[in-house]
Amino acid sequence: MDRRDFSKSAMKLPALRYGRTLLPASLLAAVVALVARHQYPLPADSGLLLWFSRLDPLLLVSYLRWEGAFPAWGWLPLATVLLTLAAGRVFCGWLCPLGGLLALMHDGRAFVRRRLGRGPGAGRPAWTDRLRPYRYHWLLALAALMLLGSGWVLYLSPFHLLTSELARLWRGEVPWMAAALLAAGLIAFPRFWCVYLCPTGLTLSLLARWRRWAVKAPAGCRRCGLCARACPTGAAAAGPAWAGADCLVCGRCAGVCPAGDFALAAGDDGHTAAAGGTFTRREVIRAGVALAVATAAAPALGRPAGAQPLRPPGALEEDEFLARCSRCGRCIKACPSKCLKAMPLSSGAASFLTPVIVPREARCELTQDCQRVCPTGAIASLPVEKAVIGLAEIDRARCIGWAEGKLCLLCQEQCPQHAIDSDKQDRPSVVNEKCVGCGACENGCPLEQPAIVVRPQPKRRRP
Amino acid sequence: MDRREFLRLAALAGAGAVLLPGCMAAPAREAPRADVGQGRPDAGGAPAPGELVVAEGREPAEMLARGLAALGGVGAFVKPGATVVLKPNFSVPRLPEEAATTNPHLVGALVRTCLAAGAKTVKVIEYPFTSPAICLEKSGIKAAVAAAGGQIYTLNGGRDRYFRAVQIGGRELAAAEYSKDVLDADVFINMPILKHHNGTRLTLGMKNLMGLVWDRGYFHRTDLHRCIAEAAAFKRPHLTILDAIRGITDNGPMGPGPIREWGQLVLGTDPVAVDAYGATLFGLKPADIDYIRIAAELGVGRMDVDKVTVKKA
Repeated sequence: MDRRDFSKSAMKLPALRYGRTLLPASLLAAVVALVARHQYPLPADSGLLLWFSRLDPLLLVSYLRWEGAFPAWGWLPLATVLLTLAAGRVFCGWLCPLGGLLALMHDGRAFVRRRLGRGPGAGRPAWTDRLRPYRYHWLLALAALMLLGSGWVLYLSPFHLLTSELARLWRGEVPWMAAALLAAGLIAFPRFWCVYLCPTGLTLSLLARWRRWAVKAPAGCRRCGLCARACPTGAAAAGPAWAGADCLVCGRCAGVCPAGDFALAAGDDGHTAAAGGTFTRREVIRAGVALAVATAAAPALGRPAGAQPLRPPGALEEDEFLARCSRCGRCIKACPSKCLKAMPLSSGAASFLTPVIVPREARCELTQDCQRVCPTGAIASLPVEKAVIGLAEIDRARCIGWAEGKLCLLCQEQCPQHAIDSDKQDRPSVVNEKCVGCGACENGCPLEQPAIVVRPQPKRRRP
Repeated sequence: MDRREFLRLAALAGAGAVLLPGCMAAPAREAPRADVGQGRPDAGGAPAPGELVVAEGREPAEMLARGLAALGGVGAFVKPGATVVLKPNFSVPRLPEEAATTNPHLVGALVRTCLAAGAKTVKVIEYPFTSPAICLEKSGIKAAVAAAGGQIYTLNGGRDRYFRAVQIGGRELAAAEYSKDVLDADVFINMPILKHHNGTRLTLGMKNLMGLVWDRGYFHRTDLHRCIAEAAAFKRPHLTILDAIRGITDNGPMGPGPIREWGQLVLGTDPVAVDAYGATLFGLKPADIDYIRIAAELGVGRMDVDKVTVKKA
């Protein structure tokens, strides 16, 4: 049996002991700082957040599903997949910024309990274990939903959820999703989200079943259960000898073990075997129910309801836009004129939190910053001249130039694309070929109810 | 520029000076002083007899220094401890080289000059109709003013903070919410750029003052030219410095557009005369621009440039 213990005492090294909290916590801080810097003028380092987000294999799945091509950065999520196949959910334990938030919560809770003399770790309530059989059905439902065309699945993945909530904070709104996530952490256990709900985490758990190296208890294990109490995900409890697929390779088990050294070891004598399993009839039925629910929910969560909104320049056609937009909120945060707003829940579940332009509040300045920060490709990189946010339309019955014969031409004055012509009588008309629908005219129109309005168009780009 | 055009103009001005000595009656250096410290110069009175100073060149700071010297020095306007407000035009999101916004070096140089003359504060204000952040950044004026030690901000969204309801007393523009900064300033200097405008043909000094009124849409809804002239009659700047170094001659005010270089800085205490002179640079008659004509009729200043002394600095 090939067994190479390459880290005997390594798991007790101070660097690892503190690093497992410090590294993800600093990555969390980095994401907060990068989101803060999503503003005009957009700094060059905004691209870092884009690249960091690409560590998530789920984003690659979305790209493959909707572009049908392998993106140039595809090696990055593949590296995460390979890392997981090698040693399990290292990404979740060490690199995930949302994980960093929950790691802080876990360590904080452990610290408080130690101070109160209630022993190391806090374990997990028994009822959470009863949820375990359902989590892959949840993942199955999410996968179906994602492939059927709902951007909400990507929203649940860590980079998008985190920046979405940060963007909400910056808009002065309540980050209710982050609050719910932290509340779940308090009621159940901090990493509840990572074990039961996170689509990226569950995908990686699935992959981790076939990992090459896993954390292994020392030979002299006395079954004291301390490691299980210290383990943030309950992976140590899956033992006795090998950690389960949810293992974050954080080494907190090693820190509390009185018997000896935990090791990261290769082997087929435990953890990979556990991966096999057989499908019982009950499981198949559950899977069928999950798929049915996802299929039924897909239209509500992925199809546009009602009138088309004005999307940022470069946005894909509405169906695909809703399938790919993760509601990460970065475009809204980066928008220099704040013309991008998050759509309210009243606009429908499918559109909720997606970016929309409200020209009467602010015009799109066509800086294309939204295109630069979009991690999902829902807002594609597109030259301004090719973009059709909408087309301006003049209501001649009310337009000052047409109806009153006065010199106004405010729309023409403010049009950055010179898409408004005027005749000898100073009456404006829209040159459709030049109009990109930025809304400067609608924004500028001096009438209470603007006489020039940008109308959405079925096609959002010019050939 | 057309050298020929300039020569023609200079000749006219010279002839005017010789033939109409009445225009020169007031000592050149007293005219500006008359306005200093006056919170609200009397707009209804007789046109201020005065002169225009034209400084030619390429280097804004140096042109400004020459121009101000010809007007009797900045000290004629800015007394120690004065609060100075400058209103350049950076209403559109364009780069300095696109020649649709007031030259940032010019604005920076004037801030520095005013501070050197003992001004307590120099505030640079604008009310862009596009995103303020972009205009501040792209025009280069934010950086120039900050480097020179002045304050700079935009009035957007600050209806209560930056505007105060006043009686304008015009036929169309009876009342308006007007810039508090300008109303309360000891010295107010208008710094427009000479460029094309789709609606009024040219944007000049008086057109630039539109950015001091909260609801500019009212101008468009009623009578654009008349409102501009009436607002100018309400509040005359102590000094207008027209940036006619380079400007767009089409696609204005937004630009980008074809650029023409006049290489001139026009300084004057008579806002109508400055605008009238600017119109001639464009090859237009001052009366072709309605707001110039109406302002002259309202007695804000004189538009017959040939009767105004044009002094070459």
